Amino acid sequence: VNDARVYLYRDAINGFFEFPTEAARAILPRGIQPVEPHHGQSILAVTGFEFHQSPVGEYRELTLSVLVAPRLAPHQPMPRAALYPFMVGTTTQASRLHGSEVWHLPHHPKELEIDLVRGDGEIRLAAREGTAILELVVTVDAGWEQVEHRYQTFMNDDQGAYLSELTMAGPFMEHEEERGSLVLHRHPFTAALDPPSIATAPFREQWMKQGRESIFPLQTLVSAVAR
Amino acid sequence: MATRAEADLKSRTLDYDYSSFFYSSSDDLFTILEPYTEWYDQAQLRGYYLYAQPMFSQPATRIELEEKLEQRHLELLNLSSYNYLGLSYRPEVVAAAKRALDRYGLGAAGSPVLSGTMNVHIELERALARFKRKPAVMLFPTGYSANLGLIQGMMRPGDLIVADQNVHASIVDGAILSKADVRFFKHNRPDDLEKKLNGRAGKKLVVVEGVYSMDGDVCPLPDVVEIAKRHDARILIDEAHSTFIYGDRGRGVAEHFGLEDEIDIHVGTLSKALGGQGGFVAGSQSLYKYLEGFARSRLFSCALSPVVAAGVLESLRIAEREPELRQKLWTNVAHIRQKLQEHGVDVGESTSQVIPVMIRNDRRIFEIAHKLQRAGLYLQPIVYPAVAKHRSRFRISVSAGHTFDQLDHGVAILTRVLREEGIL
Repeated sequence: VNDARVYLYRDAINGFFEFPTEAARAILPRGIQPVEPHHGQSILAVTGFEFHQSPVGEYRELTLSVLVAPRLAPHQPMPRAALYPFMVGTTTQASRLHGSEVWHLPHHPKELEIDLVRGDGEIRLAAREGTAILELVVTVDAGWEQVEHRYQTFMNDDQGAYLSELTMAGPFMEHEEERGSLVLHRHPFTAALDPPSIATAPFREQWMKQGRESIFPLQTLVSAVAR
Repeated sequence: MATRAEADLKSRTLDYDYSSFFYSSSDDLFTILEPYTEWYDQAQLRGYYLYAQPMFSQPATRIELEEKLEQRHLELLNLSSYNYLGLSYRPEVVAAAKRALDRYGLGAAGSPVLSGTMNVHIELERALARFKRKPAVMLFPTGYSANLGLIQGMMRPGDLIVADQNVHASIVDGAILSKADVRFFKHNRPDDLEKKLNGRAGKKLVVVEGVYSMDGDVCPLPDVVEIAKRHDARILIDEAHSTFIYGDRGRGVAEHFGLEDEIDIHVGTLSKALGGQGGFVAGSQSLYKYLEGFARSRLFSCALSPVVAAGVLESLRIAEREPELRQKLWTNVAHIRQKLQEHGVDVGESTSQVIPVMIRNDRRIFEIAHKLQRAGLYLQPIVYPAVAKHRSRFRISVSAGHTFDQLDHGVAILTRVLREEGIL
């Protein structure tokens, strides 16, 4: 635990949107399986953060990921879910370089403009770089609960394949009432996606406020994530 | 002393569910087994023991079961079994099954296409066909195998299946097995069905249910039929929870809406209102002949036990002869619904004999179920992934066999516990 890098955030929001499994498989490396809530439909996770304390100062982040099967092992803490991030954008150069070099996350090469607007019972994220990238709305339709959730993320680049274990702790809300929304624009950031094939109403909405993300040192994977 | 991982799992057991263990990114097939077992053992203690507790009696309105947690013998009021007309334990049904046992022995001892078809199977198929007013009915050993064999038998790669997202697993599995292209439309949303059909050529099958088993709501069949016809799609309706319950003659939701002749394929079950086991497909003679050759779940299974077939045949005769059973069921449904409403219980969108009691708290529902059971009420908790996250509920199955006193007693236990737990 002491080895973990800590990032504190005002808000972390997440929308899960169904999209075709063949599109998910086209994004994923061999050996990583997409999670299907329905046959033929996988999950695109659109995640926004506003960090107010981190190794590289304040910044906002937008991540596109595929929800994937976790790596489970006997007698090890179990992750709540696992993600394969395939595109990340941040608002500062320092955070972009940090994410690429330390965590091997695939970053958009330019800084993004990310607006987060907290409203009555909802939070809105709008991202652009040159032109609009996407607009995400996450709504509140469940109670808030203090939690600590464990997640896994898989990364894959020309240097190797990696697994990151992390925890997120804070007041948390999630529901599946399909009240939020996603508007996805054609942009280099979303080039791996076909917007018309992606659901515009979320399968699941999540929001954590005033939270703490602890990311443990990367593990290098020797198999099962090679392209 | 517990390891950190064990302590972590104990404290977080209900953060996980069956869906957490469906996949595992590993090179070894068995890697998943030990983490799953660790979770399973903890989950049993935290409430999953409430599932599959052994019953020592008929699935009647009062039952005896052994609580798995402490091996306690309990006598409970049963609001969980889908014995909707109370036929599984009717003396005439039991007697018919006993006679069949004496005559045929226990099993059919063969596939229905080889040596497993007995005259009682033919008699039951003909009686069901007369009841459904269809040229032919084919029996299957279970309701699951009826949908599986029917859809796999009819649909091929390149065809399109568009199903309501809440259809039964047997329909989903049949669709997967067929290798057809499968799309799901949002539950009871004909506008989304239309979107999924738009621009699609070739063979198309629209699949809905009469009554949906988790929510107890009814399919908006007139809109579904209009859209499917406009797109030249065939229609399959699974009336597992609506046959012998909806319609003037009990033929289901299709009869209720006057649309029986507009539906291409009707599926029903012998295990719900008829209190037995098995499933059936009703349609044309040519459909029967084709499925005889291509419905692999029937072709390669032993035929329905003749004992069950004989019992179900008697159940069918009673259901047709005594429409007052259906009337009693609906009277019971109205009675318990009114009582629940008087107490402000959230029953979702249900309009049928399947009545969800919405708890909307995935963690606490097990504690509540435990209290209900200890208070004398047998009611099953339904949680994710069977329903959406935070739409956990209890599912009440009303039977014609219940008395008003029993229903009132059940509501009294339920509302008392829900109040104690702050749900009401």
